Amino acid sequence: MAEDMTLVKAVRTGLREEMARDESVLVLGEDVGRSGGVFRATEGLYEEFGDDRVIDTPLTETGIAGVSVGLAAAGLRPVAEIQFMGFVYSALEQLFTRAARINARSRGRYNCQLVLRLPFGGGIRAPDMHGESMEAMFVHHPGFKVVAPSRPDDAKGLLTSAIRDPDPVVFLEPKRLYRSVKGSVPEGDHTVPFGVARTLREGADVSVFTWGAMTKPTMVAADDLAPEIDAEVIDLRSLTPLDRESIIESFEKTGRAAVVHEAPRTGGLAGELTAIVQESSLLYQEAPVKRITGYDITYPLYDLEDYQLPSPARIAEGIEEAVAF
Amino acid sequence: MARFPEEFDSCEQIIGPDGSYDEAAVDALDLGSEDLLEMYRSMVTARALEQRGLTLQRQGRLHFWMEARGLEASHVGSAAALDAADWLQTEWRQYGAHIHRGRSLEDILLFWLRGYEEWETADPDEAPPHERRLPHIVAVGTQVPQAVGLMWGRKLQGKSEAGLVAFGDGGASKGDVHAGMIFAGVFEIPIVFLLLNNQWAISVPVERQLAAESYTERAPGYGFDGILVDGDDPLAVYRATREAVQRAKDDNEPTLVEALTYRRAAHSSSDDPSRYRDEAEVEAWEERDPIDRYETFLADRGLWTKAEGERIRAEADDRVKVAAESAIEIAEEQAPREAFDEVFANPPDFIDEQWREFESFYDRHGDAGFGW
Repeated sequence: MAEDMTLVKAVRTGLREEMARDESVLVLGEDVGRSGGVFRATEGLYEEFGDDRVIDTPLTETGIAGVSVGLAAAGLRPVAEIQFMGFVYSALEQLFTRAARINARSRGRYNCQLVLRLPFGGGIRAPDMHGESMEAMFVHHPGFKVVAPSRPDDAKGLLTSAIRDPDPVVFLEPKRLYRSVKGSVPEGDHTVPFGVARTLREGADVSVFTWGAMTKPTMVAADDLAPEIDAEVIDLRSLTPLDRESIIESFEKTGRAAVVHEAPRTGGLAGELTAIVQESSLLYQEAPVKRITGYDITYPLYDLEDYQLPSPARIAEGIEEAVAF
Repeated sequence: MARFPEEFDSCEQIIGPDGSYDEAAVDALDLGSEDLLEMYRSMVTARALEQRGLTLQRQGRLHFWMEARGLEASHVGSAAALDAADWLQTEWRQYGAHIHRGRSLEDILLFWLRGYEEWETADPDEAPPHERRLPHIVAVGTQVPQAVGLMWGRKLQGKSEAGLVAFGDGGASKGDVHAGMIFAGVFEIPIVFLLLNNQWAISVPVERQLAAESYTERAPGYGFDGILVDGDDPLAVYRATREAVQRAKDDNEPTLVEALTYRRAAHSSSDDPSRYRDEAEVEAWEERDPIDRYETFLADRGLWTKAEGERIRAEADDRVKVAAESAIEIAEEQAPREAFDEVFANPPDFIDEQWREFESFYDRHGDAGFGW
């Protein structure tokens, strides 16, 4: 059985089912209780599970992250919402110095079974700090798992896996897709394993790797380019660990690749993906890997935002370059 | 300028710097002779360990060491006020607190040799007092919200336990401490905040951290009480912490206990205090040494003689030496694989892939292939 729902509803459904299944799961963050979250991702949970398990916290991301580490050490399963990814910076010391390394520093006595829900990405015309895509930061730091669904079924499945995973999981929610995509979501127990990419579109000419909200314009671009260019589009879904096998397999099939991310270019994951295919498959390579990314600029706001985010036209042109070389 | 407890209107004291004491206050404590002597032994052992650690560092056998001479009363007095099921999160020079909770000297030293800690019990309900803690964290002050979260979790699990989280005057400037205290006040967490005000954060004096009269003035702002105590008086520290522990358990009410003391030693084995402070100030605090004053008190109670003191010191020195040799021997058995273990509880494949890459190099070169 399956039900059609939006991505944000899939997040909520995943949370509700895990809370019902395991009473040690609790949700905390700013506005997650009575208001149901600024995106309504936690709507109804407060009424269903009460204020011991759906907790409106003081406005301090440092505190949310810090107490979540402690709650996890006590054996509870905190799912903490940071309202926007751009608000996470003050919590980074807690996350980097503790959440990501308590397992190592205690030789496994204390793991950190914590899910950090971070709405990420731009395009919603919100003020500063509301459009960040700093996933590379968490991928770079050892100790985190980092996942980013782009479809409702994956949102529920990856979130369920994240809540059950014994390590700290950074769960990136593409806020621009919260209500703009709808899809069928399996009812009941539904998990999606980490480290497994999803092929959104099979193709023979070029491999396009992306994740999160960028899957949408990338698919538009791929459709626009067909049938002249037959692009394979792969939604990585999991950024730590990466599905190296699928990345390499696709690249060896097409010999050409583009990476699409809205995060800034330098130090971004496109560089890492380029390195992966070069290290493993140089002799298959027909063209430079094309990076179609945000520019290395302070995130532009409001009407300027569109110039920063890869669009179907920019993505199509980038793919064409990778194919034409 | 560093300030003495006597300069404050209400800094609690039971044993004065000269060892004279308030007899009624001592009698009101729920401490028998053996309890009093156990605190003494912990303080003496902590000092022996601190001295040995510094020697080992100078010999090149420890990489780094935090100095702690003269801080023993605040460390031991507070730990003594905890019940067996309570939790303790220390900052990193509280050797006496760990010793008093029953942690072996070898295990304390192993942290300094290996950078990680090990637990014998996995189930918190089975854990002995010294294992009721999180691993040490170097990022100062960050332990505060973590300890609040831990005790929040224990409270939600229906336990009646108190937590004690310690941090310094420098650490108190971190936003994490503010965040932790807000949570503790708002959510009524059974926790004691022990602010070890030793008046120095490496070279920066407390007046660069604090513009108010004392840290305890901050407590009402979070909705709970603060108690200022003479941090070199183990019994005053004990009494204040004990009250706070009771309040935590009985009423889910946090307390800020500020132990006013002085860091006579260097910050660490890498620090040279002659660059930033006057030795005369240190000497004034040596006159107030917590172990000396406690000996005077114990002697007056008929619990201590010079000979007995010497015997306890000699025994502590011996124990520390044996523990150090043993710890060094254990640490020498470290193997490179340890660095790859336990990064994750459920490790992704890349950990093993990178291990194999390392191992292939290591097999060909051995330790000679590393370092520069």
